[in-house]
Amino acid sequence: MFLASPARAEGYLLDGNFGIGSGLEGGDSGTGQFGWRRARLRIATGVDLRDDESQADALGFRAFAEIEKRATLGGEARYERWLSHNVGAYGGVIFVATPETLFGGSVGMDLVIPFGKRAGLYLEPSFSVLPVGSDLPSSGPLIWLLFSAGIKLGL
Amino acid sequence: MKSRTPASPLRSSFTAARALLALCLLGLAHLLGNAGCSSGAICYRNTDCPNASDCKQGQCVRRISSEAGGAGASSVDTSLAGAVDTSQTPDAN
Repeated sequence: MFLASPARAEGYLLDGNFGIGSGLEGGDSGTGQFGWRRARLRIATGVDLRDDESQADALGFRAFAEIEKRATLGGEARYERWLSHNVGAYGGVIFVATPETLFGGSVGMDLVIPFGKRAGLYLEPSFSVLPVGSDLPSSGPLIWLLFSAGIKLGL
Repeated sequence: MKSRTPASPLRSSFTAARALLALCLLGLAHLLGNAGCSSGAICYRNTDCPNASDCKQGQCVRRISSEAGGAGASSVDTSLAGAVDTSQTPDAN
């Protein structure tokens, strides 16, 4: 965060990012017993938009693809609150759109290790609960405990 | 003789990142150790199963069209996505 070059006039500052992630996935297979396993590997890309007059607040948009088993495509919209230049937290909605659907909420935090003026490595632990969607075999929610890492660039 | 310099912001960021990473790894290890982790043989999502199969009771069950197998007919598909499907056993359910 705060990697983007300053805007000349009032407007939005833009950061882009690209990373990979995995972690744990928990769910009920329909047997009534909750279980955990490794979450599918995913790649994610997106942007963070922040008002140049209130740089601690930002809106983030992500698109991700799970690239194991049957590949899925999803997205996330989040409100981000940056506690310092390199540490932020967020909450938002997350969904999988195809080939089956999932919908839920997500919270997490970001840590950015800057490399130079406009680039950085981001580390992102997150927690998501997805209680709705056609990808669920039972009425129980799917839970993701994910850890993602990647490159963040000021655009 | 070299003089000491104050810790740079970059160095403190690395320290914080290492601490966060260690916490995450500890958390994952704790979950894996206490909750157990399935081997991957059980499906938790319909997309764990191959195309035209759904996850039922932790197993992939092949969807059969009403023309081919009658209403409600299905067969257990013991393979998960990515494996060769060799099972055509009718499901008693």
